[in-house]
Amino acid sequence: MAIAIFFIAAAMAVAGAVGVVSFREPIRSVLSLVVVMLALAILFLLLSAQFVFVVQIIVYAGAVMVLFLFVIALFGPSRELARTRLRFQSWLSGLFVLALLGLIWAMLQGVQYRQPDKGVDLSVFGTVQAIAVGLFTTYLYPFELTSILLLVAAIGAIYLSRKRIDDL
Amino acid sequence: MSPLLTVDLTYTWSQALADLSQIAAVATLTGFFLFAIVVDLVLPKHRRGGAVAMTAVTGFAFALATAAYRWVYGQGGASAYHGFATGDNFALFFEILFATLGILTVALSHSYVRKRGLLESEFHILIMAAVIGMMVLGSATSLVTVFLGLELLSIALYIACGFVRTESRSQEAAAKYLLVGGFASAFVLYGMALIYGGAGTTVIPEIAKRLDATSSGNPLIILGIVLMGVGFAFKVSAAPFHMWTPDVYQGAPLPVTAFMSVGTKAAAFAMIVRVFSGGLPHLAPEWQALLAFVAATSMVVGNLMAIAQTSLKRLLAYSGVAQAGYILIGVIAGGQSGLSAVLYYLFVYMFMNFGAFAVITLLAGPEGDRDRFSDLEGLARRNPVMAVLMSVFMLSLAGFPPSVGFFGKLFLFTAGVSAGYTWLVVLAVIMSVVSVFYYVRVLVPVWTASARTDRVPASISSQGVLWLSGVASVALGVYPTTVLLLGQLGANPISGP
Repeated sequence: MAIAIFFIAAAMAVAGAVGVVSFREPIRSVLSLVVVMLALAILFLLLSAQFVFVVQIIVYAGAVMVLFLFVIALFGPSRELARTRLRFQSWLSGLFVLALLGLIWAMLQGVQYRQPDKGVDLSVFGTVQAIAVGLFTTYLYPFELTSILLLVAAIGAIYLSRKRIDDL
Repeated sequence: MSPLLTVDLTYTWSQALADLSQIAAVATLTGFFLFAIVVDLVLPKHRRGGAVAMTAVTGFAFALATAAYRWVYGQGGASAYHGFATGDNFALFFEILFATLGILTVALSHSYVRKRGLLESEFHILIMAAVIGMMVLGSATSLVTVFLGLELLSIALYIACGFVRTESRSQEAAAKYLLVGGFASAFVLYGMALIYGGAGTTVIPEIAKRLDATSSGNPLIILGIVLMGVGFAFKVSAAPFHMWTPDVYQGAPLPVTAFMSVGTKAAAFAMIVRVFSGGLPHLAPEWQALLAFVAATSMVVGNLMAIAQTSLKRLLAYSGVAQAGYILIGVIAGGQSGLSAVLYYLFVYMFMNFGAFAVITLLAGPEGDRDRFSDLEGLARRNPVMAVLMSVFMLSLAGFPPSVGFFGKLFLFTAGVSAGYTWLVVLAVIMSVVSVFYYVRVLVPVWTASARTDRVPASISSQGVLWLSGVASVALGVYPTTVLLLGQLGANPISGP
């Protein structure tokens, strides 16, 4: 059952990702991205990461995607101009994708998968409490680093988005 | 049991504070970074720039002092924050390097930013953020923190590249760097995920313990090495993943180019040494083969393409591609001699390359950067000190004795030969000879007579940068032992004494 759900979600994710890059209208690309996000959320749930599953849907598929749609609606949903590609680009890229997939497929035949580590209690793994405790103990340093990262991104976004130098 | 899989409920605030001493330089600089944001917020408009510049320099100086103090009086560093970071000599070496680079950058950009009418405080704040990212990278002992440091420095630099909002070339550089950099980060992350899948941990010393020579039969690990190697090669701008370098270097404002040409390269090499030499020592044949290919391509492509350039920024960009190839020889050779040569070269590369960019920065006018060969015409008359120093930097980059460039290459190449990579070193020597052509070509307009008599003014802080870089480029070559010794001590945590 879990395997079947995995393959359905994985196929959805790949199909959505192809849609993001191949649609010409930005709105359709964004909606395909929503499909990718939802499929990823299902994959997270399969890995018993309940909290990440919910956050993925609320934050990414919800808030972030709504922002994307707002921005596109503000700028006007214009179509991407056609005829900007090189003549053999789609054929060549398809060929490379197939070659790379074949290579990865061939390599994955001999993979030695690891057993899950002993001593992990799956009934608490991935719960809100486990993540909260982890963030402030074991993962304290990466957690704080992430906050600096977001602060820098916010400063940069403000700098790049203001209209004139006098605005700041 | 892996230290990462379970949550450590016994971890207390006092332990977290004790761990803070291991990343003292990062913490100090972060404190000053937050303070600089507040300074920018509360001061009146006309006083912000200077105050933030002062805060930045003070922060870098304190971080430098902290790292130097720990180097002298520390006990060699221990694992902190559950294996995410460490304060060993390798980390301290890079923290000292990045703090010095930060001081040089702020000192150089102060007058440049004013001349071009850019916002000064945001500029310095972004440089501080990038240096924090580099220091995090230097002290990271987990793939998670390696990636966070990489992203922190990259995001700060994406914005810094597009800092000149009115210039389309600067915007183009930012967009290109963002796209290619994001692509490279994705490669690194995918590779890390596969390594994590194969080893079951992200802590680098732990990975070294779990993966032995038999792991080379595991495709997950091999794919992980290849993908990470591609991403790392992007970040050090090594060929064939160098396409972004000339465009980004040309478009970014000059102090940013100077900063990233040295800083990103040093940080990315710290990452390569930590992850490959430190984390995958038993799989060395696999990643050595990959890096040897990248090194050979970089030396050939970088040096041959540099000959054809007409822009000084693009020339130095291709020179940087070639230099990345030389430094990779030291990483491939490994061991104490190879890694200490890498650290020595990165340290002195900071002075010679930053100095060369500093000279071009001072040529810039209010309308934009002037980086054509003709802009250097008659420099010997217009500013004799700068002409002499530019010659020092170019000859040092070309590897003339007794400059630092000569000894740096000597250490790298001897390490390469003794590790059995003679073919790579022969190629490197041939390509170094080729490089003399374009480095000397830069000096031709400097020293030939010209009708131009306009002076090239330099502020006191920029003169300080020029003199420090120039003196270091000669002095550390005449007397290379100190830095080489520091490099050996810095390489010890990875290579063993």
